[in-house]
Amino acid sequence: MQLYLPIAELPVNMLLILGMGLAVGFISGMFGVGGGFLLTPLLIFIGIPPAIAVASVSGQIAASSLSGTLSYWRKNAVDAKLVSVLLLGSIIGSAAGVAVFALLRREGQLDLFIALSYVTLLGGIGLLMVVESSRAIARSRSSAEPPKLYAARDRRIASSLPFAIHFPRSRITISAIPVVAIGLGIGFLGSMMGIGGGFLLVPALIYLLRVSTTVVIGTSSLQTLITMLMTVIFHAISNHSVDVVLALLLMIGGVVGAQFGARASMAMKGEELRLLLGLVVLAVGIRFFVDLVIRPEDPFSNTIVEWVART
Amino acid sequence: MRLLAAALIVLASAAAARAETMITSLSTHRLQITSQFVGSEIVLFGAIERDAQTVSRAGGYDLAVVVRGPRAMVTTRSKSRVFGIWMNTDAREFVEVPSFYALLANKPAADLADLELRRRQQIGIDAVTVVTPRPGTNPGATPAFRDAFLRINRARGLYRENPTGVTFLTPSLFRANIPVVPNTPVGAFDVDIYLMSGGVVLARETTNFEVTKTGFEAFVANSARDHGLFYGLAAAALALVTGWAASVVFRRD
Repeated sequence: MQLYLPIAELPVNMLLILGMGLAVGFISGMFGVGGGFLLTPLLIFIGIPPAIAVASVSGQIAASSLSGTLSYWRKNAVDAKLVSVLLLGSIIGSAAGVAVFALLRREGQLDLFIALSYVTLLGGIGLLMVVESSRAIARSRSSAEPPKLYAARDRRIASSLPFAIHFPRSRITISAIPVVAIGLGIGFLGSMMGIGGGFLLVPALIYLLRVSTTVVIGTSSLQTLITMLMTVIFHAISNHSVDVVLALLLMIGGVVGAQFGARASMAMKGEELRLLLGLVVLAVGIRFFVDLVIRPEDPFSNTIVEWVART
Repeated sequence: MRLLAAALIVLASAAAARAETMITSLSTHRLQITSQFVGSEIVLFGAIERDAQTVSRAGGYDLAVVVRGPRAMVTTRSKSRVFGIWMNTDAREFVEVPSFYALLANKPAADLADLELRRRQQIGIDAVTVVTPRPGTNPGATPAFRDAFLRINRARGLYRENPTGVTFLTPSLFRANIPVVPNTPVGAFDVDIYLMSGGVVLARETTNFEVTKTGFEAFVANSARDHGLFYGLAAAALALVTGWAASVVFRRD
């Protein structure tokens, strides 16, 4: 069933897009991540221009993180104060990311930058997750002593900085500087790569800020929701690259898939889930790495820079 | 003096009368893209008119229908290996090249006329003007970029040649099916019809058609282009409504 995308200016198979949204939604519901890191490359792979894929996926991530945020909000597991400080950074980061995106697109280096970011971030995070979770699994099998938390050195540095703020929900008192910096980085990468950044934000909140684990996921969901809404608006203003028809198809598939994913995750242990997610993340990173290093099928490519008097 | 002028006029009109003329018609001048659009076709009909004085052409008539989409500035980039990674390292910008090109004819382009004439009239993919104002640091590589530009457009179905694209229904009546591809550019298309014989152009007709988005598709595309902020807000609202609806429908707690 073909459907014409008005911004991408090409017909796509509607069921294929819905199915992709469903599959990625399943994974996102299962692991509690946005799934942008899978969806954006998949769309680029089936021929959607990268600019349109990145911008439209932001809408999908916003939709799926809203349903997540609402359920954590009802459980009172969101630190809104922490989110408001993170947002100071991420709104600026997101606007900067969209501007750099437009610049790189003009210079013809956008694809390279996206690929390099995916390789380093997904490769790094994926590897860490696989190593950490397989150790945890090995520990639980041999039923050794529970893992010790490493000394929170980062937190000591963070506490010595000025502008200390107390976050009662997260049970931390910390300088605003590292919080804003984390927001800045997540906002920038999110708008550049078409990812929500949940898989970066959750470990950052846990390991760098030592946020209480009960509010981590809910806080990350709210932060992702607002950042992605801003990103959609910024992309619409500066790159005109948000395809609402594509975004709606992805949203529908995504939110439905997420429900089944969330149910499936109940049957699995935390460390097994982390190992599985780590493997998925690592696989996407390796895929991008392979594309970068093997000789391309055609080293040439055409890009329409500007239309001449198009009515 | 006056007699001479009169004689010249008579001669000129006789010469004009000897040439063939064409009457052509397109099945539509406005092709609308709807949500179900998967490509389409526009039919061109034409008749060759000749009067009693016209000499008969030994080689018979040839027809070339040249269809060109809206023009664009296109950058063709090439990758090479830098520190083990393939990245874009060189580029050529081609000026005002057609975003879509089709030649429909009754024989291969090379058999219609010599390359010089075909270049003048843009008949055949090898005759399309693809030039760059800045040859870059490595001018010798420009022909490779030009070949790549044409090859990629061919592979994507945007540049095409059909040596059997024109059918003669009678010796003086012909038709051609102009393809509108699924990934068609949107805008004004020019159609040039050349009546040829023995490698010379006998007559030329020009017509055009427009490919436009319509209804919802046009509304979305125009809003995205002209009202980015409101479009972005609407897209954000759509995300909120969808996410909220999902949490209501699937609420379990």
